[in-house]
Amino acid sequence: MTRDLAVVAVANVFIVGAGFGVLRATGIRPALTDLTWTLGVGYLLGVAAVGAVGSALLVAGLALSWWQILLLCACVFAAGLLRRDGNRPPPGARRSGWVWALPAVALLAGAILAVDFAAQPLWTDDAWSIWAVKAHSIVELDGLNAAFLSSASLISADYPLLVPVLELVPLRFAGLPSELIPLQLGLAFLALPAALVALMRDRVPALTLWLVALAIVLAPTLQVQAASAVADVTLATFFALAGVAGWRWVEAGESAMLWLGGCFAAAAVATKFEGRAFVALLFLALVAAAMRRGRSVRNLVWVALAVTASALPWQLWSRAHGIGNAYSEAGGVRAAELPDTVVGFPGRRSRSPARSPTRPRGSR
Amino acid sequence: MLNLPSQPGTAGLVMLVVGAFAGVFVIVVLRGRIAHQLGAPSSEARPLLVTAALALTAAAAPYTLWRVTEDIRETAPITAAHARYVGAETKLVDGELVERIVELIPENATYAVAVAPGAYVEIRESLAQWLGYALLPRRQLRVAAVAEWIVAWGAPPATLGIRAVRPTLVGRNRLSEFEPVYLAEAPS
Repeated sequence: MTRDLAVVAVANVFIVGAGFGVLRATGIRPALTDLTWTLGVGYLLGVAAVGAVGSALLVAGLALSWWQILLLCACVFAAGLLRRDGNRPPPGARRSGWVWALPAVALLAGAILAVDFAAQPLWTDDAWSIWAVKAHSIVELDGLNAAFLSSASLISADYPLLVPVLELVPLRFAGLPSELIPLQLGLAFLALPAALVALMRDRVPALTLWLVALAIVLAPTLQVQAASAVADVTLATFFALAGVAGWRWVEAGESAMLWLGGCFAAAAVATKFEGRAFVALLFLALVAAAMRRGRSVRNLVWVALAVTASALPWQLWSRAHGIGNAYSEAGGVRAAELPDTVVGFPGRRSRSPARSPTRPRGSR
Repeated sequence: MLNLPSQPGTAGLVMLVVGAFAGVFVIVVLRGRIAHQLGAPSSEARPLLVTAALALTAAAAPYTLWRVTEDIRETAPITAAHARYVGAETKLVDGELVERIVELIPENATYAVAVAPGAYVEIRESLAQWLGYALLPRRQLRVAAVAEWIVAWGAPPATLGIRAVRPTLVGRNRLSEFEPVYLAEAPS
Protein backbone atom coordinates (compact mmCIF):
# COMPACT_ATOMS: atom_id res chain seq x y z
CA MET A 1 0.00 0.00 0.00
CA THR A 2 2.80 2.43 0.90
CA ARG A 3 4.58 1.73 -2.38
CA ASP A 4 1.32 2.15 -4.29
CA LEU A 5 0.68 5.49 -2.56
CA ALA A 6 4.19 6.66 -3.39
CA VAL A 7 4.00 5.87 -7.11
CA VAL A 8 0.53 7.36 -7.42
CA ALA A 9 1.83 10.48 -5.65
CA VAL A 10 4.64 10.73 -8.21
CA ALA A 11 2.11 10.42 -11.04
CA ASN A 12 0.06 13.21 -9.50
CA VAL A 13 3.14 15.44 -9.29
CA PHE A 14 3.42 15.00 -13.05
CA ILE A 15 -0.25 15.98 -13.36
CA VAL A 16 0.53 19.19 -11.46
CA GLY A 17 3.34 19.73 -13.99
CA ALA A 18 0.85 19.36 -16.84
CA GLY A 19 -1.37 21.92 -15.11
CA PHE A 20 1.54 24.34 -14.94
CA GLY A 21 1.99 23.88 -18.67
CA VAL A 22 -1.63 24.89 -19.26
CA LEU A 23 -1.24 27.86 -16.90
CA ARG A 24 1.83 29.09 -18.76
CA ALA A 25 0.09 28.62 -22.09
CA THR A 26 -2.69 30.92 -20.89
CA GLY A 27 -0.19 33.51 -19.66
CA ILE A 28 -0.24 32.86 -15.92
CA ARG A 29 2.95 31.91 -14.11
CA PRO A 30 2.37 31.25 -10.40
CA ALA A 31 5.23 30.49 -8.03
CA LEU A 32 5.54 26.83 -7.03
CA THR A 33 5.27 27.91 -3.41
CA ASP A 34 1.91 29.57 -4.08
CA LEU A 35 0.08 26.47 -2.87
CA THR A 36 -3.49 27.45 -3.68
CA TRP A 37 -2.44 27.93 -7.30
CA THR A 38 -0.09 24.94 -7.42
CA LEU A 39 -2.26 22.35 -5.67
CA GLY A 40 -5.60 23.91 -6.57
CA VAL A 41 -5.74 25.44 -10.04
CA GLY A 42 -2.53 23.79 -11.27
CA TYR A 43 -3.58 20.30 -10.20
CA LEU A 44 -7.11 20.59 -11.57
CA LEU A 45 -5.89 22.00 -14.87
CA GLY A 46 -3.53 19.04 -15.06
CA VAL A 47 -6.42 16.67 -14.40
CA ALA A 48 -8.46 18.48 -17.06
CA ALA A 49 -5.64 18.30 -19.62
CA VAL A 50 -4.70 14.68 -18.93
CA GLY A 51 -8.38 13.71 -18.89
CA ALA A 52 -9.38 15.49 -22.08
CA VAL A 53 -6.23 14.80 -24.12
CA GLY A 54 -5.97 11.30 -22.69
CA SER A 55 -9.53 10.59 -23.89
CA ALA A 56 -8.54 11.63 -27.42
CA LEU A 57 -5.40 9.47 -27.24
CA LEU A 58 -7.46 6.44 -26.23
CA VAL A 59 -9.70 7.04 -29.22
CA ALA A 60 -6.56 7.30 -31.36
CA GLY A 61 -5.61 3.77 -30.30
CA LEU A 62 -3.22 4.27 -27.41
CA ALA A 63 -3.70 2.27 -24.21
CA LEU A 64 -2.33 4.99 -21.89
CA SER A 65 0.31 2.89 -20.16
CA TRP A 66 2.19 4.46 -17.24
CA TRP A 67 4.94 5.88 -19.40
CA GLN A 68 2.43 7.26 -21.90
CA ILE A 69 0.66 9.09 -19.05
CA LEU A 70 3.98 10.56 -17.91
CA LEU A 71 4.87 11.51 -21.48
CA LEU A 72 1.47 13.15 -21.92
CA CYS A 73 2.05 15.25 -18.77
CA ALA A 74 5.54 16.18 -19.98
CA CYS A 75 4.23 17.19 -23.41
CA VAL A 76 1.52 19.42 -21.91
CA PHE A 77 4.13 21.01 -19.64
CA ALA A 78 6.49 21.53 -22.57
CA ALA A 79 3.70 23.05 -24.65
CA GLY A 80 3.33 25.70 -21.96
CA LEU A 81 7.02 26.55 -22.22
CA LEU A 82 6.53 27.55 -25.86
CA ARG A 83 4.89 30.74 -24.69
CA ARG A 84 7.73 32.95 -23.56
CA ASP A 85 6.12 36.37 -23.46
CA GLY A 86 3.28 37.87 -21.50
CA ASN A 87 3.52 35.51 -18.52
CA ARG A 88 2.45 37.19 -15.31
CA PRO A 89 2.17 35.97 -11.74
CA PRO A 90 -1.43 35.70 -10.53
CA PRO A 91 -2.85 38.45 -8.30
CA GLY A 92 -1.77 38.27 -4.68
CA ALA A 93 -3.95 37.52 -1.69
CA ARG A 94 -5.50 40.17 0.52
CA ARG A 95 -4.15 40.51 4.05
CA SER A 96 -5.97 38.14 6.32
CA GLY A 97 -4.75 38.34 9.97
CA TRP A 98 -6.35 35.74 12.27
CA VAL A 99 -8.19 34.21 9.32
CA TRP A 100 -5.23 31.79 8.87
CA ALA A 101 -7.10 29.50 11.29
CA LEU A 102 -9.69 28.71 8.60
CA PRO A 103 -7.25 27.29 6.01
CA ALA A 104 -5.58 25.38 8.86
CA VAL A 105 -8.88 23.68 9.73
CA ALA A 106 -9.65 23.15 6.03
CA LEU A 107 -6.25 21.50 5.60
CA LEU A 108 -6.86 19.23 8.60
CA ALA A 109 -10.29 18.27 7.28
CA GLY A 110 -8.82 17.64 3.82
CA ALA A 111 -6.11 15.40 5.29
CA ILE A 112 -8.68 13.33 7.22
CA LEU A 113 -10.78 13.01 4.07
CA ALA A 114 -7.75 11.92 2.04
CA VAL A 115 -7.10 9.10 4.54
CA ASP A 116 -10.74 8.08 4.25
CA PHE A 117 -10.60 8.10 0.43
CA ALA A 118 -7.51 5.89 0.59
CA ALA A 119 -9.35 3.42 2.84
CA GLN A 120 -12.47 3.17 0.64
CA PRO A 121 -12.99 0.07 -1.46
CA LEU A 122 -14.77 0.47 -4.78
CA TRP A 123 -18.27 -0.32 -3.59
CA THR A 124 -20.97 1.96 -5.02
CA ASP A 125 -22.70 0.42 -8.02
CA ASP A 126 -22.15 3.40 -10.33
CA ALA A 127 -18.45 3.34 -9.47
CA TRP A 128 -17.90 -0.21 -10.73
CA SER A 129 -20.71 -0.60 -13.25
CA ILE A 130 -20.08 2.62 -15.19
CA TRP A 131 -16.59 3.97 -14.53
CA ALA A 132 -14.16 1.39 -13.15
CA VAL A 133 -15.32 -1.30 -15.56
CA LYS A 134 -14.32 0.94 -18.45
CA ALA A 135 -10.92 1.76 -16.94
CA HIS A 136 -10.28 -1.92 -16.15
CA SER A 137 -11.27 -2.90 -19.69
CA ILE A 138 -8.71 -0.44 -21.09
CA VAL A 139 -6.01 -2.13 -19.01
CA GLU A 140 -7.16 -5.72 -19.62
CA LEU A 141 -7.85 -5.30 -23.34
CA ASP A 142 -4.98 -2.94 -24.06
CA GLY A 143 -7.01 0.13 -25.01
CA LEU A 144 -10.58 0.90 -25.99
CA ASN A 145 -12.25 -2.26 -27.24
CA ALA A 146 -15.41 -1.62 -29.24
CA ALA A 147 -16.54 -5.25 -28.98
CA PHE A 148 -16.36 -5.13 -25.19
CA LEU A 149 -17.92 -1.68 -24.91
CA SER A 150 -20.87 -2.70 -27.07
CA SER A 151 -21.34 -6.01 -25.24
CA ALA A 152 -23.67 -6.52 -22.31
CA SER A 153 -20.80 -6.17 -19.84
CA LEU A 154 -21.42 -2.56 -18.95
CA ILE A 155 -24.14 0.04 -18.88
CA SER A 156 -23.73 3.64 -20.03
CA ALA A 157 -20.84 2.60 -22.24
CA ASP A 158 -21.20 5.84 -24.19
CA TYR A 159 -20.29 8.06 -21.22
CA PRO A 160 -17.16 10.16 -21.88
CA LEU A 161 -13.72 9.04 -20.80
CA LEU A 162 -12.23 11.61 -18.40
CA VAL A 163 -13.04 9.62 -15.24
CA PRO A 164 -11.75 6.30 -16.68
CA VAL A 165 -8.57 8.11 -17.78
CA LEU A 166 -8.11 9.41 -14.22
CA GLU A 167 -8.71 5.91 -12.87
CA LEU A 168 -5.98 4.65 -15.18
CA VAL A 169 -3.46 6.59 -13.08
CA PRO A 170 -3.68 4.26 -10.03
CA LEU A 171 -4.41 1.24 -12.23
CA ARG A 172 -1.31 1.79 -14.35
CA PHE A 173 1.02 2.94 -11.60
CA ALA A 174 -0.11 0.75 -8.71
CA GLY A 175 -1.29 -2.27 -10.68
CA LEU A 176 -4.58 -4.06 -11.13
CA PRO A 177 -6.73 -4.16 -9.06
CA SER A 178 -6.09 -0.88 -7.30
CA GLU A 179 -7.89 0.30 -4.20
CA LEU A 180 -6.61 3.81 -4.78
CA ILE A 181 -9.26 4.76 -7.35
CA PRO A 182 -11.46 6.57 -4.75
CA LEU A 183 -8.40 8.52 -3.56
CA GLN A 184 -7.42 9.49 -7.12
CA LEU A 185 -10.91 10.81 -7.88
CA GLY A 186 -11.21 12.36 -4.42
CA LEU A 187 -8.06 14.43 -4.94
CA ALA A 188 -9.92 16.51 -7.53
CA PHE A 189 -12.51 17.34 -4.86
CA LEU A 190 -9.84 18.19 -2.30
CA ALA A 191 -8.22 20.57 -4.80
CA LEU A 192 -11.47 22.47 -5.39
CA PRO A 193 -11.41 24.72 -2.28
CA ALA A 194 -7.81 25.71 -2.95
CA ALA A 195 -8.59 26.45 -6.60
CA LEU A 196 -11.58 28.60 -5.66
CA VAL A 197 -9.45 30.57 -3.21
CA ALA A 198 -6.72 31.06 -5.81
CA LEU A 199 -9.11 32.27 -8.49
CA MET A 200 -11.03 34.66 -6.23
CA ARG A 201 -8.52 35.84 -3.66
CA ASP A 202 -7.98 39.31 -5.10
CA ARG A 203 -11.72 39.93 -5.40
CA VAL A 204 -13.20 38.47 -2.24
CA PRO A 205 -12.18 39.03 1.41
CA ALA A 206 -10.01 36.17 2.69
CA LEU A 207 -12.44 35.47 5.51
CA THR A 208 -15.40 34.93 3.20
CA LEU A 209 -13.33 32.93 0.76
CA TRP A 210 -11.86 30.53 3.30
CA LEU A 211 -15.24 30.19 4.97
CA VAL A 212 -16.66 28.94 1.67
CA ALA A 213 -13.65 26.65 1.20
CA LEU A 214 -14.12 25.21 4.68
CA ALA A 215 -17.84 24.73 4.15
CA ILE A 216 -17.14 22.79 0.93
CA VAL A 217 -14.67 20.44 2.64
CA LEU A 218 -17.05 19.87 5.56
CA ALA A 219 -20.26 19.41 3.53
CA PRO A 220 -21.36 15.84 4.38
CA THR A 221 -23.04 15.09 1.04
CA LEU A 222 -20.01 16.26 -0.91
CA GLN A 223 -17.76 14.14 1.30
CA VAL A 224 -19.88 11.05 0.69
CA GLN A 225 -20.14 11.66 -3.06
CA ALA A 226 -16.42 12.34 -3.37
CA ALA A 227 -15.59 9.09 -1.57
CA SER A 228 -17.91 7.12 -3.83
CA ALA A 229 -15.64 7.21 -6.88
CA VAL A 230 -18.40 8.44 -9.17
CA ALA A 231 -18.25 11.35 -11.58
CA ASP A 232 -20.72 13.81 -10.08
CA VAL A 233 -18.37 15.71 -7.79
CA THR A 234 -15.71 15.81 -10.51
CA LEU A 235 -18.25 17.28 -12.91
CA ALA A 236 -19.39 19.81 -10.31
CA THR A 237 -15.78 20.79 -9.61
CA PHE A 238 -14.96 21.53 -13.24
CA PHE A 239 -18.25 23.28 -13.88
CA ALA A 240 -17.88 25.49 -10.81
CA LEU A 241 -14.36 26.54 -11.81
CA ALA A 242 -15.44 27.16 -15.41
CA GLY A 243 -18.14 29.45 -14.05
CA VAL A 244 -15.79 31.34 -11.74
CA ALA A 245 -13.14 31.83 -14.42
CA GLY A 246 -15.82 32.88 -16.92
CA TRP A 247 -17.21 35.38 -14.44
CA ARG A 248 -13.71 36.87 -13.99
CA TRP A 249 -13.43 37.28 -17.74
CA VAL A 250 -16.80 39.04 -17.89
CA GLU A 251 -15.91 41.26 -14.91
CA ALA A 252 -12.36 42.23 -15.80
CA GLY A 253 -11.84 41.09 -19.38
CA GLU A 254 -8.90 38.84 -18.44
CA SER A 255 -8.43 36.65 -21.51
CA ALA A 256 -6.29 34.19 -19.52
CA MET A 257 -9.34 33.52 -17.33
CA LEU A 258 -11.48 32.92 -20.41
CA TRP A 259 -9.09 30.19 -21.60
CA LEU A 260 -8.83 28.72 -18.10
CA GLY A 261 -12.62 28.60 -18.03
CA GLY A 262 -12.54 26.90 -21.42
CA CYS A 263 -10.19 24.20 -20.11
CA PHE A 264 -12.45 23.52 -17.14
CA ALA A 265 -15.52 23.54 -19.39
CA ALA A 266 -13.88 21.01 -21.73
CA ALA A 267 -13.13 18.83 -18.71
CA ALA A 268 -16.76 19.08 -17.55
CA VAL A 269 -17.92 17.98 -21.01
CA ALA A 270 -15.41 15.11 -20.96
CA THR A 271 -16.63 13.97 -17.55
CA LYS A 272 -20.34 13.31 -18.06
CA PHE A 273 -23.00 13.89 -20.70
CA GLU A 274 -24.78 16.26 -18.34
CA GLY A 275 -21.69 18.46 -18.60
CA ARG A 276 -22.64 19.37 -22.17
CA ALA A 277 -25.94 20.91 -21.07
CA PHE A 278 -24.34 22.69 -18.11
CA VAL A 279 -21.54 24.12 -20.23
CA ALA A 280 -23.90 25.18 -23.04
CA LEU A 281 -25.99 27.11 -20.53
CA LEU A 282 -22.86 28.61 -18.99
CA PHE A 283 -21.65 29.87 -22.36
CA LEU A 284 -25.07 31.34 -23.11
CA ALA A 285 -25.00 33.15 -19.77
CA LEU A 286 -21.47 34.40 -20.44
CA VAL A 287 -22.48 35.68 -23.89
CA ALA A 288 -25.41 37.54 -22.37
CA ALA A 289 -23.31 39.00 -19.55
CA ALA A 290 -20.47 39.98 -21.89
CA MET A 291 -22.78 41.70 -24.36
CA ARG A 292 -24.45 43.56 -21.53
CA ARG A 293 -21.03 44.91 -20.56
CA GLY A 294 -20.20 45.73 -24.17
CA ARG A 295 -17.43 43.14 -24.26
CA SER A 296 -16.51 41.42 -27.53
CA VAL A 297 -17.59 37.78 -27.58
CA ARG A 298 -15.27 36.76 -30.41
CA ASN A 299 -12.79 35.01 -28.09
CA LEU A 300 -15.67 33.40 -26.22
CA VAL A 301 -16.88 31.90 -29.49
CA TRP A 302 -13.39 30.51 -30.16
CA VAL A 303 -13.29 28.98 -26.71
CA ALA A 304 -16.76 27.45 -27.21
CA LEU A 305 -15.60 25.97 -30.52
CA ALA A 306 -12.48 24.55 -28.88
CA VAL A 307 -14.58 22.96 -26.14
CA THR A 308 -16.89 21.45 -28.75
CA ALA A 309 -13.93 20.14 -30.75
CA SER A 310 -12.45 18.52 -27.64
CA ALA A 311 -15.59 16.40 -27.25
CA LEU A 312 -15.71 15.25 -30.87
CA PRO A 313 -13.17 12.35 -30.92
CA TRP A 314 -15.02 10.20 -28.37
CA GLN A 315 -18.41 11.26 -29.74
CA LEU A 316 -17.51 10.23 -33.29
CA TRP A 317 -15.74 7.03 -32.21
CA SER A 318 -18.58 5.85 -29.98
CA ARG A 319 -21.17 6.57 -32.67
CA ALA A 320 -19.08 4.90 -35.36
CA HIS A 321 -18.89 1.75 -33.23
CA GLY A 322 -22.55 1.79 -32.26
CA ILE A 323 -21.85 2.20 -28.56
CA GLY A 324 -24.96 3.14 -26.63
CA ASN A 325 -26.18 2.61 -23.12
CA ALA A 326 -28.48 0.02 -21.66
CA TYR A 327 -31.06 2.62 -20.71
CA SER A 328 -31.55 4.17 -24.13
CA GLU A 329 -31.35 0.76 -25.79
CA ALA A 330 -34.24 -0.34 -23.60
CA GLY A 331 -36.29 2.56 -24.96
CA GLY A 332 -35.67 5.10 -22.20
CA VAL A 333 -38.59 6.33 -20.11
CA ARG A 334 -42.05 6.43 -21.58
CA ALA A 335 -44.23 9.42 -20.72
CA ALA A 336 -46.56 7.26 -18.63
CA GLU A 337 -43.62 6.12 -16.50
CA LEU A 338 -42.31 9.61 -15.77
CA PRO A 339 -44.16 10.14 -12.45
CA ASP A 340 -42.82 6.84 -11.09
CA THR A 341 -39.36 7.67 -12.38
CA VAL A 342 -39.36 11.08 -10.72
CA VAL A 343 -40.57 9.84 -7.33
CA GLY A 344 -38.21 6.89 -7.28
CA PHE A 345 -39.35 3.58 -8.79
CA PRO A 346 -41.85 2.53 -6.10
CA GLY A 347 -42.25 -0.91 -7.67
CA ARG A 348 -38.59 -1.82 -7.35
CA ARG A 349 -38.24 -2.17 -3.61
CA SER A 350 -36.15 -4.92 -2.21
CA ARG A 351 -37.58 -7.93 -0.44
CA SER A 352 -34.87 -7.59 2.14
CA PRO A 353 -32.69 -4.78 3.40
CA ALA A 354 -29.18 -4.74 1.98
CA ARG A 355 -26.64 -5.85 4.55
CA SER A 356 -23.54 -4.02 5.48
CA PRO A 357 -20.68 -5.63 3.59
CA THR A 358 -18.29 -5.36 6.49
CA ARG A 359 -20.53 -7.28 8.84
CA PRO A 360 -19.90 -11.03 9.24
CA ARG A 361 -21.01 -12.82 6.12
CA GLY A 362 -22.74 -16.12 5.76
CA SER A 363 -24.34 -15.79 9.16
CA ARG A 364 -27.74 -17.19 8.15
CA MET B 1 -18.37 6.24 2.59
CA LEU B 2 -18.93 2.62 3.42
CA ASN B 3 -19.31 2.68 7.17
CA LEU B 4 -20.55 6.09 8.28
CA PRO B 5 -22.16 5.81 11.73
CA SER B 6 -25.94 5.81 11.49
CA GLN B 7 -26.35 7.19 15.04
CA PRO B 8 -24.27 9.82 16.87
CA GLY B 9 -23.78 7.70 20.00
CA THR B 10 -22.00 9.15 23.01
CA ALA B 11 -18.90 10.31 21.16
CA GLY B 12 -21.02 11.92 18.44
CA LEU B 13 -23.10 13.76 21.02
CA VAL B 14 -19.91 15.06 22.66
CA MET B 15 -18.79 16.32 19.25
CA LEU B 16 -22.14 18.05 18.74
CA VAL B 17 -21.76 19.78 22.11
CA VAL B 18 -18.17 20.81 21.27
CA GLY B 19 -19.48 22.16 17.97
CA ALA B 20 -22.19 24.12 19.73
CA PHE B 21 -19.55 25.75 21.95
CA ALA B 22 -17.47 26.56 18.86
CA GLY B 23 -20.48 28.18 17.21
CA VAL B 24 -21.23 30.26 20.30
CA PHE B 25 -17.54 31.25 20.48
CA VAL B 26 -17.71 32.57 16.91
CA ILE B 27 -20.82 34.61 17.64
CA VAL B 28 -19.69 36.02 21.00
CA VAL B 29 -15.93 36.47 20.52
CA LEU B 30 -15.33 36.75 16.79
CA ARG B 31 -18.31 38.84 15.70
CA GLY B 32 -16.48 42.13 16.07
CA ARG B 33 -13.32 40.81 14.43
CA ILE B 34 -15.33 39.46 11.51
CA ALA B 35 -16.86 42.89 10.97
CA HIS B 36 -13.37 44.40 11.14
CA GLN B 37 -12.08 41.92 8.55
CA LEU B 38 -14.92 42.80 6.21
CA GLY B 39 -14.50 46.52 6.84
CA ALA B 40 -18.11 47.03 7.83
CA PRO B 41 -20.00 47.82 11.07
CA SER B 42 -21.02 44.67 12.91
CA SER B 43 -24.68 45.65 12.71
CA GLU B 44 -24.71 45.49 8.91
CA ALA B 45 -26.15 42.52 7.07
CA ARG B 46 -22.89 41.30 5.51
CA PRO B 47 -20.92 40.77 8.77
CA LEU B 48 -24.01 39.23 10.37
CA LEU B 49 -24.39 36.81 7.49
CA VAL B 50 -20.72 35.81 7.51
CA THR B 51 -20.78 35.43 11.31
CA ALA B 52 -23.84 33.18 11.11
CA ALA B 53 -22.27 31.09 8.33
CA LEU B 54 -18.99 30.73 10.22
CA ALA B 55 -20.81 29.83 13.44
CA LEU B 56 -22.78 27.12 11.64
CA THR B 57 -19.66 25.75 9.94
CA ALA B 58 -17.73 25.73 13.22
CA ALA B 59 -20.66 24.03 14.95
CA ALA B 60 -20.85 21.30 12.31
CA ALA B 61 -17.11 20.69 11.95
CA PRO B 62 -16.38 18.42 14.97
CA TYR B 63 -19.31 16.08 14.33
CA THR B 64 -18.74 15.95 10.57
CA LEU B 65 -15.07 15.09 10.97
CA TRP B 66 -15.81 12.58 13.73
CA ARG B 67 -18.13 10.72 11.33
CA VAL B 68 -15.31 10.51 8.79
CA THR B 69 -12.83 9.21 11.37
CA GLU B 70 -15.37 6.57 12.42
CA ASP B 71 -15.69 5.54 8.79
CA ILE B 72 -11.92 5.24 8.55
CA ARG B 73 -11.83 3.12 11.73
CA GLU B 74 -14.43 0.70 10.34
CA THR B 75 -13.32 0.64 6.71
CA ALA B 76 -9.52 0.58 6.93
CA PRO B 77 -9.34 -3.01 8.34
CA ILE B 78 -10.93 -4.43 5.17
CA THR B 79 -8.28 -6.58 3.52
CA ALA B 80 -7.22 -6.03 -0.07
CA ALA B 81 -8.67 -9.40 -1.05
CA HIS B 82 -12.03 -8.57 0.51
CA ALA B 83 -12.02 -5.02 -0.91
CA ARG B 84 -12.08 -6.52 -4.42
CA TYR B 85 -15.66 -7.73 -3.98
CA VAL B 86 -17.22 -5.46 -1.37
CA GLY B 87 -19.22 -3.94 -4.24
CA ALA B 88 -20.77 -7.34 -4.94
CA GLU B 89 -21.70 -7.83 -1.31
CA THR B 90 -23.65 -4.58 -1.21
CA LYS B 91 -25.88 -6.27 -3.82
CA LEU B 92 -26.14 -9.54 -1.87
CA VAL B 93 -23.84 -11.29 -4.34
CA ASP B 94 -21.25 -13.59 -2.75
CA GLY B 95 -17.99 -12.23 -4.12
CA GLU B 96 -16.07 -15.40 -3.34
CA LEU B 97 -18.41 -17.36 -5.62
CA VAL B 98 -17.68 -14.89 -8.40
CA GLU B 99 -13.94 -15.33 -7.78
CA ARG B 100 -14.42 -19.06 -8.33
CA ILE B 101 -16.25 -18.39 -11.59
CA VAL B 102 -13.34 -16.19 -12.68
CA GLU B 103 -11.03 -19.17 -12.30
CA LEU B 104 -13.28 -21.46 -14.35
CA ILE B 105 -14.01 -19.35 -17.46
CA PRO B 106 -11.05 -18.83 -19.84
CA GLU B 107 -9.99 -15.20 -20.25
CA ASN B 108 -10.91 -14.90 -23.92
CA ALA B 109 -14.31 -16.57 -23.60
CA THR B 110 -17.81 -15.13 -23.80
CA TYR B 111 -20.58 -15.81 -21.30
CA ALA B 112 -24.19 -15.00 -20.56
CA VAL B 113 -25.93 -14.53 -17.22
CA ALA B 114 -29.28 -15.93 -16.13
CA VAL B 115 -30.87 -15.21 -12.76
CA ALA B 116 -33.78 -17.09 -11.23
CA PRO B 117 -36.90 -14.91 -11.11
CA GLY B 118 -37.28 -15.56 -7.39
CA ALA B 119 -33.89 -14.04 -6.51
CA TYR B 120 -33.72 -10.84 -4.49
CA VAL B 121 -34.20 -7.73 -6.59
CA GLU B 122 -30.65 -6.50 -5.81
CA ILE B 123 -29.25 -9.66 -7.37
CA ARG B 124 -31.57 -9.61 -10.37
CA GLU B 125 -30.71 -6.00 -11.15
CA SER B 126 -26.99 -5.99 -10.39
CA LEU B 127 -25.54 -9.44 -10.95
CA ALA B 128 -24.95 -9.03 -14.69
CA GLN B 129 -23.27 -5.66 -14.11
CA TRP B 130 -21.03 -7.00 -11.36
CA LEU B 131 -20.00 -9.96 -13.50
CA GLY B 132 -19.34 -7.57 -16.40
CA TYR B 133 -16.83 -5.83 -14.13
CA ALA B 134 -15.40 -8.76 -12.16
CA LEU B 135 -15.07 -11.21 -15.05
CA LEU B 136 -13.01 -8.89 -17.26
CA PRO B 137 -11.56 -9.49 -19.83
CA ARG B 138 -14.26 -12.08 -20.50
CA ARG B 139 -17.07 -10.62 -22.57
CA GLN B 140 -20.71 -10.80 -21.54
CA LEU B 141 -23.31 -11.42 -24.25
CA ARG B 142 -26.98 -10.61 -24.01
CA VAL B 143 -28.13 -13.76 -25.82
CA ALA B 144 -27.30 -17.01 -24.04
CA ALA B 145 -27.62 -19.05 -27.23
CA VAL B 146 -24.46 -17.51 -28.71
CA ALA B 147 -22.35 -17.41 -25.53
CA GLU B 148 -19.70 -20.01 -24.74
CA TRP B 149 -20.48 -20.18 -21.04
CA ILE B 150 -23.61 -19.75 -18.94
CA VAL B 151 -23.68 -18.41 -15.37
CA ALA B 152 -26.98 -19.51 -13.85
CA TRP B 153 -27.78 -17.91 -10.47
CA GLY B 154 -30.47 -19.44 -8.30
CA ALA B 155 -31.39 -22.42 -10.50
CA PRO B 156 -29.84 -24.83 -13.01
CA PRO B 157 -29.71 -23.51 -16.60
CA ALA B 158 -32.38 -25.96 -17.77
CA THR B 159 -34.83 -24.65 -15.18
CA LEU B 160 -34.21 -21.13 -16.49
CA GLY B 161 -34.96 -22.31 -20.04
CA ILE B 162 -31.34 -22.27 -21.24
CA ARG B 163 -29.72 -25.13 -23.12
CA ALA B 164 -26.33 -25.95 -21.65
CA VAL B 165 -24.09 -28.94 -21.06
CA ARG B 166 -22.30 -30.14 -17.95
CA PRO B 167 -23.75 -27.68 -15.43
CA THR B 168 -21.45 -27.54 -12.41
CA LEU B 169 -22.50 -26.30 -8.98
CA VAL B 170 -19.99 -23.54 -8.19
CA GLY B 171 -21.38 -22.97 -4.72
CA ARG B 172 -24.21 -21.37 -2.79
CA ASN B 173 -24.78 -17.68 -2.16
CA ARG B 174 -24.09 -17.14 1.53
CA LEU B 175 -25.36 -13.56 1.47
CA SER B 176 -28.90 -14.39 0.46
CA GLU B 177 -30.89 -17.63 0.70
CA PHE B 178 -28.06 -20.06 -0.09
CA GLU B 179 -29.39 -20.30 -3.62
CA PRO B 180 -27.24 -22.48 -5.90
CA VAL B 181 -24.97 -20.96 -8.53
CA TYR B 182 -24.14 -23.01 -11.64
CA LEU B 183 -21.63 -22.64 -14.41
CA ALA B 184 -22.26 -24.50 -17.64
CA GLU B 185 -20.83 -24.68 -21.12
CA ALA B 186 -23.00 -23.83 -24.07
CA PRO B 187 -23.83 -26.75 -26.39
CA SER B 188 -21.41 -26.76 -29.33
